[in-house]
Amino acid sequence: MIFLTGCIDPYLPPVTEQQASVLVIDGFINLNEESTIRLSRSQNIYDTIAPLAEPGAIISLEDEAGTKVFLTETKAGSYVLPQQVLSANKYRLNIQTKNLQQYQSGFEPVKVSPPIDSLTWNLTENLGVQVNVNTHEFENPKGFYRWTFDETWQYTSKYQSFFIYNYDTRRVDLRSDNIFECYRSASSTDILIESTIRLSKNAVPNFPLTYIPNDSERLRYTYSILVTQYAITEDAFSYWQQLKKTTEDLGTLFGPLPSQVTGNFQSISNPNEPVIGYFAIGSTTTNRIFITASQLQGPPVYDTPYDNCEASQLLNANIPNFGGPFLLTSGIPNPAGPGIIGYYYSTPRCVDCRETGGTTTKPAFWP
Amino acid sequence: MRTVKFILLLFSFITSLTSLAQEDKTISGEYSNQSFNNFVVALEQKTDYKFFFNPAQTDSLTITISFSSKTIVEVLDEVFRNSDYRYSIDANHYVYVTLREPILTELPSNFFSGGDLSDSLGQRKENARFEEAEKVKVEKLTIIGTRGANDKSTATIAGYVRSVKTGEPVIGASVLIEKPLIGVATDGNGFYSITLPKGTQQLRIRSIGMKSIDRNVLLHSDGKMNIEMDEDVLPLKEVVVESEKDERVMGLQMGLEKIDIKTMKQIPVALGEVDILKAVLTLPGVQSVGEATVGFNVRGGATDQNLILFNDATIYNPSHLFGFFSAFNADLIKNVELYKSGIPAEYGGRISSVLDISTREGNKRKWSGSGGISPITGRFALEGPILKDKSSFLIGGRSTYSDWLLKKIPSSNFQNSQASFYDLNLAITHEINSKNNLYISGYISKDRFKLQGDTAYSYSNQAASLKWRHIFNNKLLGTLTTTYSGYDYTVASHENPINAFDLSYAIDQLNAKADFNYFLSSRHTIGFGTGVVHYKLAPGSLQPVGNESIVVPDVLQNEQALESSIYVGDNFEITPQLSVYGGLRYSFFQNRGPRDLFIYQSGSPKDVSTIIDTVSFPSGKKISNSSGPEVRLSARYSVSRNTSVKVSYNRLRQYIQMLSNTTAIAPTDIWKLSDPYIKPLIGDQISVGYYHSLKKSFEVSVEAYYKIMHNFLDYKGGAELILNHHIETDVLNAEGKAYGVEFLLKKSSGKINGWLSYTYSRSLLKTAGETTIETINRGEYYPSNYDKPHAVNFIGNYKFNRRFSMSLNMVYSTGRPITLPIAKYNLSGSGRLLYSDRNQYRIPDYFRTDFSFNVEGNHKIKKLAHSSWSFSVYNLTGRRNAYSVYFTSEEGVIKGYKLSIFGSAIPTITYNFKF
Repeated sequence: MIFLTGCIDPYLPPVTEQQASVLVIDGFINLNEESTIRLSRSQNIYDTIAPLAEPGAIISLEDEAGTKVFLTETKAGSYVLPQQVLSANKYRLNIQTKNLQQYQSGFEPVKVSPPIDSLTWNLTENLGVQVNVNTHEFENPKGFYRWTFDETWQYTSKYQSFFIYNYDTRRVDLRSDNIFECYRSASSTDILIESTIRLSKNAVPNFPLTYIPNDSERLRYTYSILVTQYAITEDAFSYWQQLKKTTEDLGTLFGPLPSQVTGNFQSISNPNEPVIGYFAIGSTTTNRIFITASQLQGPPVYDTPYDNCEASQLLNANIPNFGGPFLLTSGIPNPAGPGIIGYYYSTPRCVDCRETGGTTTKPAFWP
Repeated sequence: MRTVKFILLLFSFITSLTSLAQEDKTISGEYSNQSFNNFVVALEQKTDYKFFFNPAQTDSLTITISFSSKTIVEVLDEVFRNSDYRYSIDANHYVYVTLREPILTELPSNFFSGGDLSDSLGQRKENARFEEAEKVKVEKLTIIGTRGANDKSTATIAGYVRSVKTGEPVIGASVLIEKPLIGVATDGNGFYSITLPKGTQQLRIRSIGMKSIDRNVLLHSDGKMNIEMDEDVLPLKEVVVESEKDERVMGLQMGLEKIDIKTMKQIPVALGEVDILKAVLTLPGVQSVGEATVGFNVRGGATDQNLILFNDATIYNPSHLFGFFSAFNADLIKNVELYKSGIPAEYGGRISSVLDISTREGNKRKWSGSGGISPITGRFALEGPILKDKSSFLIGGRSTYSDWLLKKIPSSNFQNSQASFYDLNLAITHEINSKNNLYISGYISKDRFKLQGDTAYSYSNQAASLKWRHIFNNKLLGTLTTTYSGYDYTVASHENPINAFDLSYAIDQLNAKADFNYFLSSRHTIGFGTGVVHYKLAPGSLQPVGNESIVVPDVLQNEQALESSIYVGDNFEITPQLSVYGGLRYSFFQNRGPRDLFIYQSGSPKDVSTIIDTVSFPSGKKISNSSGPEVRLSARYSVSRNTSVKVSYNRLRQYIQMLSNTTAIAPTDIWKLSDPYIKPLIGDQISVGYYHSLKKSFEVSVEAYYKIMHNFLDYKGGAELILNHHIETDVLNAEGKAYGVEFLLKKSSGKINGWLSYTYSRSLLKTAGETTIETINRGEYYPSNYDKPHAVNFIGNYKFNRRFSMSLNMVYSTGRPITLPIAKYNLSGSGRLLYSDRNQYRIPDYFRTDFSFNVEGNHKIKKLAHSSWSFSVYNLTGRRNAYSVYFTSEEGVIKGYKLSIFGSAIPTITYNFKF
């Protein structure tokens, strides 16, 4: 009787007039290691090219006493500061772009992240994996945290290739290299932040970082996640929270109105010019865990990019005429006796695991 | 029917050729100021006599008599002595009471002797038609007052106009004489008071849906006359769009829209539920930000600037199910009035509009019920007398069947969701005596829903009112009203035991007011009164749930305040062409302790870092005051009988504002009282209008307005509104202005009726604080969230016949303003968006067409239950109107989406019944 279809359609807004592109400052001065600050320019929302790097700028890190350390540009738009001992309490970042516009951040305190107590995971009702982080720092009454993570997982292509077609000899040889088992990595994209101001102690219990569905390819063999924890200031927290609200939480029935979120940089040359980015300085802590398929209840079918893969048959008689962008997989057993009557073959995307973005090189941290 | 009765009557004439002697049974009794009707009921109980009379002839008759051991004849002789009433009794012990001429219970003596009886029987026949109020005029002389009581040339008649059938008051009925033209309309309780020259007058009483009555009145001095009107047996013939056709042209009030329940029922609705607020949205000058939002915007005002009164009690959240339904059960509603401008002095507290909703009174004569079933909801109402003709009750309830609606929404967000609601109403009216009436009303609505998993929202409105109406004399009428309004919500998240919490919020409001109407003369009607409102807000409380939870309880301080007001207003008819209304309301607001108040460094933006002190105020101690006069003026000049021009100015003050970071009223919105940092809203509006009625019940009107709003609350980007101990640091004071022109072409009756309106309006805000953080869009005017310049509404009804009718509803409006991303950038490997200045772009235009077809059951007057079916299609064209447009970063890629609430045509069937 009733067909209620509230719906969400893709929407492209009418082309908004091109504004002068805005400088975007991305980066974090990490006391533990070499740090990189990246400068780029905002783009029209329909641009399909990669963001334009901003080369030729002069960037310096300045303490409250006025002592400056300069960063060096290693590649276009990337400015590097080698790891060094920083003893002041507060620093700011000065930037002069190649068109001589000056930008400056506010002074930010050095924030040292407490260790990650644990990374835990549990099976949800849908048998997916929920990964959570726990931390605490009782020395400070209020805690503000941000996390990023890098996931790595093992996966295989649809068909394992035991043979290789030698176009010179027009014969089939045994394959010696591995193109079946790969490792792929991905970084977090969502803003993951939490504050403890509503809690009685500065402790974060089971903050949900990511959820992996039960049939995800990530859980098929071994999955690893490396979590980096940042301690941030209350202002930085509110910056990330606003950025999250305006780009991740919109569109629900009670969603907030979006607003311009810029950060703690200011243009010295033109105070009305917006500039994007939040300068922060401090140390991070990390933790890594592994989850293997044997710890889980696997699904009937994993969701892989290989759904429409098919294998064809190459009979022995046709081997000299074989051609095209195909890879051999395994032999076709002779139904009548020993030996094989030919080979299966398929497209490289279904056979070579590197085609979907991974690498066959086992990462150093892999067990 | 009538013929059959007449034949029976004739038959009784014949069988009682010789009138039998009256029985000698005697009765005793004592009656004081009883209505004739009550008196008759008592006599019928004591004897086996049955009385027949025309209520329209006896409604002004009161009986005061004491007798013992008298026969019925003796009693009746005593009762009717020195009156114009006559009675006769036939062989069946039927007593016929008539005016001036008795019924013949015997045939004329020459009946069988071939004498000419056409004359006498014809005459008698006229008098025999007494069982029902006459369809045509009743010529009857009612004598009011005592001759020579005073030397004045005029006298005042007052009383109630009620329905014969149910005893309910008839509202907005015109009571008038034509020469000279003097007229008044009955008020919300059916009360009228009219001052006329002494002597014989023909008083005309008119109300659509009721049979017209003309009364011949001989006026000696002030007196009381209650009038009972009979419902037009064929009320469907006329479609009531307004209770009085000419009111828009001839009335003094401008910017007033009335919708009665019959009109509302014709407007096609989504999900089969007659919806008051959706009907209000079809009126010119009323907008909403989108579908599934109940808050509405009147003439460029925000959603919290509408005073929503339900039987005099304020309602804070008028919605169910995140706005799909309004929280009022239409079966119980009598009428709805929306004041957009020229707001009379008795109303105050919100600056944009007053939406006055009143429930019906229960049937005082017999039990009846009604109900309906639609795919989503079921409702039922029962009413009846508690004491016949004295008091009645009306009780009604409504609820959803289940959560299955949400399961039908093809979005995983909704699949795990649940939602339910109900509302309950009770209304009791009691007539203590002819001068005192008591009205009691209770209302509760409750919603509970869970969206996207683990967080459950619930909210509830409660309202109660007690009203005592006293008629001091014909010229002075007083009403004492006390009301309670409550609103609360709870957000509960219990999934993770370590941070399980309940977040709750509550408002309690108590009102007491006294209102008086003084009918000084036929040219002056004065209203005056005083009132006081006590607010108590619990603006937020976060509590851990369970032993494991480490959530720290966080409770914001309660806020309390007292708002008092006093007003006087005079409706003055200077000449029949020119009428003016002048009113003055003075409101005084006091925010009181206990409370600890932060003091900020003067000259710097309010921020946690600029708090320099905290001052404690003990209980009851004044924290801040605000007061001011509110002037209300309007004037009407009738250019001709069909044309008038009106102008009005009003100022209103509002001491409680809603804080909302979303575009519509959301369940987590909080209300905030004025305090030393939040100044009261002040709204000024000037409007002019031109009204013209044409032939064939067409009328055209144009109204233009200009409005200024001071101390409008706006928010800093990303303001935190929930559990904020220092909300003043996150809000900004904005100035608002709104202006517009509303054109309306309306046909109020006939086979085809409806209206077409076009509105051009703008609503703009300006936020210019002292620092850049406090300034939005560089301090320039920018469109408010509900600024929709062009709006067209068409409502058309067509009646094929008395049983079948159809309605077509078309709505067009400019899309509402939004803030769009103007650039994208990459930060930490993820795409992000840079937004434009606030509200610089618009979502696509809105267009919707709805259709409904109504089938009434057969029109036999007497049958067990009347039923009707309504088939409607909402959004006939299936257009996917945008509710909002938004952009998200999904796995690092920016995607734009358009959210539509109703993405296709929605057919619904509703069954309604009444017994």
